[in-house]
Amino acid sequence: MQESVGKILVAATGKGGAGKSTTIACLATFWHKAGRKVALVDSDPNQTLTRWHAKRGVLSEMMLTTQLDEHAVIPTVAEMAGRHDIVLVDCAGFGNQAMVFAIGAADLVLVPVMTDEANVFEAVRTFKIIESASLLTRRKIPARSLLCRVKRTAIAAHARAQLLALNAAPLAAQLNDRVLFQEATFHGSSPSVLAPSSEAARDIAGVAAEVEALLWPRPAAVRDAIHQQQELHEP
Amino acid sequence: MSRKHSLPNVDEEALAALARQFPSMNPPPAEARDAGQSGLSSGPASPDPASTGSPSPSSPPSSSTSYGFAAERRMPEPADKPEPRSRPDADEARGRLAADGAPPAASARPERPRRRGGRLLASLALLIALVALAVGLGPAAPPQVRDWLTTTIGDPTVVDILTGSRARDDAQRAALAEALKGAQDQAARLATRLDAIEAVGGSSAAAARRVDALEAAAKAADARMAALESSGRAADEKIAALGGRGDAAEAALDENAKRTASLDEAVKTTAGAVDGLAKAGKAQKLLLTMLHLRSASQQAGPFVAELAAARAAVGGDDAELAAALKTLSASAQTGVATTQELRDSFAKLIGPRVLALSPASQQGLTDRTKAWVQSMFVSRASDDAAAGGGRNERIVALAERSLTRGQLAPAVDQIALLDDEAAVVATEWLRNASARLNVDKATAMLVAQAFDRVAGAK
Repeated sequence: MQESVGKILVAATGKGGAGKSTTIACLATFWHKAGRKVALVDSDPNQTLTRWHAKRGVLSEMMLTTQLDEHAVIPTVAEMAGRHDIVLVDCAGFGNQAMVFAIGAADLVLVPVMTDEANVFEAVRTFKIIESASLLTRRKIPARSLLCRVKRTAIAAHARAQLLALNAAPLAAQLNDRVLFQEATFHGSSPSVLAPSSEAARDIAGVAAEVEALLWPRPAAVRDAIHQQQELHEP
Repeated sequence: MSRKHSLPNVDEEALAALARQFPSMNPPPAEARDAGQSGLSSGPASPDPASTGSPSPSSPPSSSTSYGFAAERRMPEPADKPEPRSRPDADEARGRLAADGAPPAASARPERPRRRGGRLLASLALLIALVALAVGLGPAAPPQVRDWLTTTIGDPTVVDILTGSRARDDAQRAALAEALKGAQDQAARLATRLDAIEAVGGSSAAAARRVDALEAAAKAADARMAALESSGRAADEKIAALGGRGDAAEAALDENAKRTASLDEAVKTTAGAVDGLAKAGKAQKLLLTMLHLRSASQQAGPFVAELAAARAAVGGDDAELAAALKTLSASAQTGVATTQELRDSFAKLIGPRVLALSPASQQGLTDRTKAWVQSMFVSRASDDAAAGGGRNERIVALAERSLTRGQLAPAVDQIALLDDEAAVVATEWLRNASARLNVDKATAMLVAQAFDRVAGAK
């Protein structure tokens, strides 16, 4: 039996087009550029991530396994986690067995949400599934929702408030509605590579930092030191 | 996968129970359909369908397709969907989640976002449309502009470039006019011939048809001429419009030339200011260096480093400053005795020794020794000598007085007047004092020059 050492991050929601593949691609690229060993698992029958991986962009520099057999999801993820720092799993945009198995194996589940009622509804349903999986596996599976394609309107704040009210804890960081995210999909790449100083790249860095704190929590003393250092550098 | 992998703290069997509520993405294997059950080929063991009374997690619902949903296995939908416009209460929503297995929808009406920019966009679109209309109607300007441009510029080629060439239209029109004239001539000849024929044998139907045909041809030529004239008018209007645009371009060029001139002036002013700043900075640096050199030279020690810095600051463009630095270089290695040291040495050593050499002091070894020892402690004795002693004694007294007043230069001049052995005794002191005077003079000149440069730069 191979002991897993890498972390497992799953992007899942019952709503299609919410931003699962984009989130996975962006975070994978960010960590890949940061020097982490990153592996990708695509369990979406639409194979969006697989298609982007084939475009010979920065995504193609990472190992990707397309796994549509739900019973092979956990063994695949376990095998990948044994050889990589982090495994990112992209699920299909509807409730399916592969998503449940992936959630059960996850160290953290990200639930991408767009700022409309259908997305929020499906996100809360997904959180319900995560909660059920936690009960069944007798293991607390951390989960956060992530607001995606956010426009600067009052509706975004409303959606965030709804997620908070419905216990679908949203990350403070969010992926705003920027053209660069869409452009990156045509290149099999990420804004972190196409335009490292862009607003989109900063969005990704913010999300990555928050997720890292959940996946690799630091001791309190280290956290305090980093916090103090950040405060010193703030203008 | 040849090797089975698993994750710690992950109960795949328990997950399979939950996963059964969702559709499978795998097509149902034939044997599973036949047997009604199947197990995991690799991975954690699945529950026995017979014992649990439910289908295996790997066996898809019979009513679903490969990626389809089984209606009876879907997550239960909320029994009563929440009102879309009411803000849900968190606790109540959580309660409904627990009861129904599905969350209530996020439905409260948010504050209506204010729309901005619509009128601005419409105004922008209208402006673009107006500009496009103006450009489109530009060629419809009158032909007089082309004539004016031809007269003003004097080069038809340039006018053609600016307004578009009409040579082709003119050539076509001339050709058609020629053809029309030919046709009219031919019609006249035919009419003459017809008249001749009619005169000889009366009219004939064929001749009439030919005449009709010729008339029709003449009408067609007229129509083509009219069309060409219309085209010519349109071209003239186009040329006029281009002429107007040429005027606007000329005005813009003039404006650009003025702006370029003003920018050149600004650049010159800025360059002057930068040069002034550079000069001021250099002069200030020179002054500081000279002040530092003067301060160092006022001490008794060497001042080689300060002198090197001063040389670097001066450069080689000023002969006067270079000469002063050369004067200083003679003493930089050893340093020069300070005025205070010179005064002390004169009072304690030179003065008494000179006085000891005076004839009045030649009273035997014991008396001379006594006088010398006394001179070590009572320098004022020289005042007595000045009052009524010999020449050397008076010189020493005057020099001491000058030194007491801090006047080194007069003292040096006075000591230089000593005679005989007294002059020999004072030689070394005079050399040191002269070196001090030279150093002071050179550093004063350097500082003054540097200060003048700072004042001049300002």
